[in-house]
Amino acid sequence: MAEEFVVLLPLWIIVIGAIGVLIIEAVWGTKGRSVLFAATMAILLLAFIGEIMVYRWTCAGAQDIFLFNRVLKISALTNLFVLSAIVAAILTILFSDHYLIAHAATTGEYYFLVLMVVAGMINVILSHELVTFLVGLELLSLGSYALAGYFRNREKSIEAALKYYLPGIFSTAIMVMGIAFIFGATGTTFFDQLNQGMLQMPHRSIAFVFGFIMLLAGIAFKLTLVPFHAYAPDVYEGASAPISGLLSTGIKIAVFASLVRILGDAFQLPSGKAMFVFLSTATMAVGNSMALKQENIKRMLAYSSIAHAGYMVIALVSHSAIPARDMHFAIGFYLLAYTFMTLGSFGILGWLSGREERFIYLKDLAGISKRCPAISLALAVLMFSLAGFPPTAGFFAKYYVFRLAIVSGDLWLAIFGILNSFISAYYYLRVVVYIMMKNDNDVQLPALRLSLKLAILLSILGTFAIPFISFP
Amino acid sequence: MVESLLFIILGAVLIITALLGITRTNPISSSLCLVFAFLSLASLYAMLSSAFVAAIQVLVYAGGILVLIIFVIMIMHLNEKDLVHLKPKYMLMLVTAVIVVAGTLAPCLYVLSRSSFFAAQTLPENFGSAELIGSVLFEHYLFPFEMLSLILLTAIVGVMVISKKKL
Repeated sequence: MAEEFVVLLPLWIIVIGAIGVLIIEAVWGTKGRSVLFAATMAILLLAFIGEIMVYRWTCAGAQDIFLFNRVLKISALTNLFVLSAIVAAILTILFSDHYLIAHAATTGEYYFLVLMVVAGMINVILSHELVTFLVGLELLSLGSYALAGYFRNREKSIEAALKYYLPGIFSTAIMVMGIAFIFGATGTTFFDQLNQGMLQMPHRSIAFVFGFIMLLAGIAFKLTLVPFHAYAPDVYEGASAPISGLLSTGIKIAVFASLVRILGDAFQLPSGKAMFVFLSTATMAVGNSMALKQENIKRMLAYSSIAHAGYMVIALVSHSAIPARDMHFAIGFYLLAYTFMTLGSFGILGWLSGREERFIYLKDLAGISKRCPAISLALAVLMFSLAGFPPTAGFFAKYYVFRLAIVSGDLWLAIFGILNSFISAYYYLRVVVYIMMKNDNDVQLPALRLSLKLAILLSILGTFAIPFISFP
Repeated sequence: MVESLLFIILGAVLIITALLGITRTNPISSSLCLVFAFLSLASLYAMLSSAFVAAIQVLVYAGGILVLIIFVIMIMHLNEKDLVHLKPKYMLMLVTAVIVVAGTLAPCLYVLSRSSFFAAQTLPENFGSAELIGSVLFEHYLFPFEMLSLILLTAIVGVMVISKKKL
């Protein structure tokens, strides 16, 4: 029983800390709001350190740890994803500090909801069983619905919350139906017993396939894969910029982690390959081609986030043909790189766009480089990384994923991905061109807070440094 | 024989009341239709020898959730002119329903009925008893059960955040 408390330390820190944040808000009200940011950062940093300790401890054992009657599993892989999720949360909170102060909207509830979303992410990543996975996913979703509609005085934010909430609950309903089918077909919900359950009852495999497709549909909704992507641009545009960043990175980290776990632990679908090929090619093509004509940068980033999910699915296409380690490495690396680039761009955009996020069109960026060279350089670096130029993390992430496709014999898939990267360079570089343009529009740029400087520094550092980190 | 007849009647009541529930203009009458839908669903559970789930269905949904819904409707205090009369395009709805049923549900059911997915099985002795459900919930699924409390807390805070007028 002691193991449960030690190994899940990051989760307990975040949950207890979140309730503490809520109590600060309840007891001190407006007076306590100045400490909320520091308190949340302290909680997340503690969780990060705790997770690193757990990481060292579990890697020393080199053995997977099962908790709570095997509903949770901790391995080197899950540790990596939990670390990425906490990093995404730290960046979000750093960017939120400035954003909330600029909009006079700091409350304890905001920080509480962000922490709860992180707790949901950790639950999803660690879950070893479908019911636990579903519960974690709901925790994560409920928090993010509320966060998407946090600025309820803005019409766009309310629209985002509604457009996120309604398809979200439908996708959950479909997923629950799928889990029921899988349970009916195999008699179990544990990932590592599904295969065995299938073999015992081969006559029910058709029900299993239906269940799996429904489960995959629900997961694909959260990952914004193409037939299920339609909500993403509106939601990411309407939600406040730091939250758009969290929605497009943190949630994808968690759900991708569990998808990898389900595919790795549970089953190797013989006909699954065609499905993933379709998902990845359609997602890349639609995401990139729609991003081409966006004038609104947040919408452009939303479509770019869709396209990046497509690149990541390439690694899943050949999941039965390549060593699991390589696939985990490629996806984990891609997600971490993607987190730094996307959250960084959303955060900088949130700072530039000013009150009510009025200045989020490409033309509003014109002339930024004159007035604030450091920030515009940072934004340019992030854009180069998103487009996949060496020596940034974006290049290495794409390299590892495309190499997997080539190794497993799907050369054409890699070529398709590379062609898509070329297309994407157009709209990312357009941002850089606009930054460098001469212009005389006289928008007053807001002051730079320390937290914002730290956040931008962290995302740039991440963009350059993670290729040098060696993953165990 | 009696069982299948009962099943058909309950299923028909469920579908009809569910349809009525989403087509009524008056929210009170549509929530009353919902009561009947919940009750027939509970009877279906009871027929599947899950008496405990049936009782919970009546207590929580027909009892609790519906009172809540009616409470909200009364608080909102809608006038006759606030209620928008839907003018459904029946032809379009019919075509959509046919496409959805024919395209997804029918092949699914067809394939399932040909496999032995629906084959009869003997149930264990204490199937569906409160004791078994309790032990599953508090032993095997203790962690997700406790996480549900966090979901409720998040939902409460989320609703408060969204419904507050001032930022």
